[in-house]
Amino acid sequence: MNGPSKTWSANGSRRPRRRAFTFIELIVAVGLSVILLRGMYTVLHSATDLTTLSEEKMSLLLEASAIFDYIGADLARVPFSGQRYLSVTSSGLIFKASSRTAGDDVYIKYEYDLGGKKVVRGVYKDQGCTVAEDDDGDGHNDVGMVIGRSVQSFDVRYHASGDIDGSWNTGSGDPAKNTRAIRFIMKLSSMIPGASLADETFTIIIPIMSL
Amino acid sequence: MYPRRRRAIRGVTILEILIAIFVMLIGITGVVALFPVGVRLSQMSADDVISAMTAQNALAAVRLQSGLLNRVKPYVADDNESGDVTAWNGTKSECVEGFTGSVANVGTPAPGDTKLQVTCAGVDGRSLDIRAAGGGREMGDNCALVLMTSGNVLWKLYRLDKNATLTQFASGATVSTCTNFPADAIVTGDTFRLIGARDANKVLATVPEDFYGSGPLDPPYELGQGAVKEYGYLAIITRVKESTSTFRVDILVFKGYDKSLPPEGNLPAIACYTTILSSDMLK
Repeated sequence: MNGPSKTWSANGSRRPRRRAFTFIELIVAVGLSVILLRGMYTVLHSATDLTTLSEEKMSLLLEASAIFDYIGADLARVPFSGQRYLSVTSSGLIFKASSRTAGDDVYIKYEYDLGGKKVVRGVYKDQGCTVAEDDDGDGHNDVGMVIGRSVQSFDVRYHASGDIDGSWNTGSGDPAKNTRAIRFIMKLSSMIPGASLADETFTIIIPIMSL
Repeated sequence: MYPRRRRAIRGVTILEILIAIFVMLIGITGVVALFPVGVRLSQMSADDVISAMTAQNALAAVRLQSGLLNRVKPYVADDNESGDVTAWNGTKSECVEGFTGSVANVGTPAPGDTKLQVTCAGVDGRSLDIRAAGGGREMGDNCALVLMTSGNVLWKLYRLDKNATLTQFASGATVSTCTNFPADAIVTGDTFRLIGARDANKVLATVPEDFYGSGPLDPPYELGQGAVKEYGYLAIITRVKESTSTFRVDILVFKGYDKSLPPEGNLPAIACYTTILSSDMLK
């Protein structure tokens, strides 16, 4: 397409004057812009979707990792020798942990709140969980601490046999004496509003080697 | 009084508009190109997190596998335990990190080539890292790996490099032979681990154990066969030469393999972890 032609002004001046766009030229330019913008929108939309999915997945991964790290750190406090206490149910566990101060035993409990879709941690003075305990010494009882949100399911089993492909149990036997590992299976959903990522299920095995 | 002159304003040519659109397109393309990079980096971060969790599970599984650990035999001294790796780059050997030695007669390398010779009988009972640190495909040079078996040996070779594009996992039991791996299968920075070499005449020689399992995204946790898993691990367990009560555990994390089969072939590990276990920790 040729550009606008140069003309002379009406008063005879020698300054060249260019004519404006024709309607066809404007339509062509707008059409090209629309095509380009449409293509860019498609690419950006796909890229944004992928980025959002990746962010959701990372969020889930990091949350699961943090929860398991927290539980693992607590389970590392199971007494190496002496009296042990460990009770496992299908949706939680309570165990005797080493004390903050000598002779001051504490019990840590993890429990799944089905209604609230969360995992709650509490520290108590006895296995009956009747008296709360200030484990970290901040002056407040450590109960009701939410360590996992948007938890769709939380399954806990203990392992006592000689091999890992043996049985994983809950609520039976005497886990206090011979438990060698705890297995957690947790299903998390994304907490990002409008998330499109499906629930992800994680499995982690935490050994208890202090027998 | 002169009539007021209207100043003529020149329009923009369609050519100028097209140029402007083209320039804008280049800029936007650059920005858009960053999105796939971000997604890829995010996926790598996800792999790192999952790898750490996978390794945690692998280590837990190993610690619970008392029967498996009992099968890992202690180190037995070998007369040929020294002088087992020779490497050179043309006329010098310094290009191969950590290894020195005289040039062996396994062929004449071209200038710039890197060549490693490993005598399997000499790595009995040890987990030996071999790293190609010079030459490489991107430089137009070759890195060759030659395994020389001076006796009846059983060996396994693992590629540990995270970014390897051509993976040559291999194993064999041969007598006095030489195995040449394709030169273009090894690039600068690749790391191999040679384990399990033993002299067949030494019954008690060390035999590292392989142990496969699934990652943290495969509930319910099971060791059944046949299921295709997104993430999985291979744990290589060896007794430490200096202490019979100490185990070295190398955990390789893989993505997208059938755990019923060893992750051999062109499947690089996405992460590698090494840890030491004492038998005191194993109950």
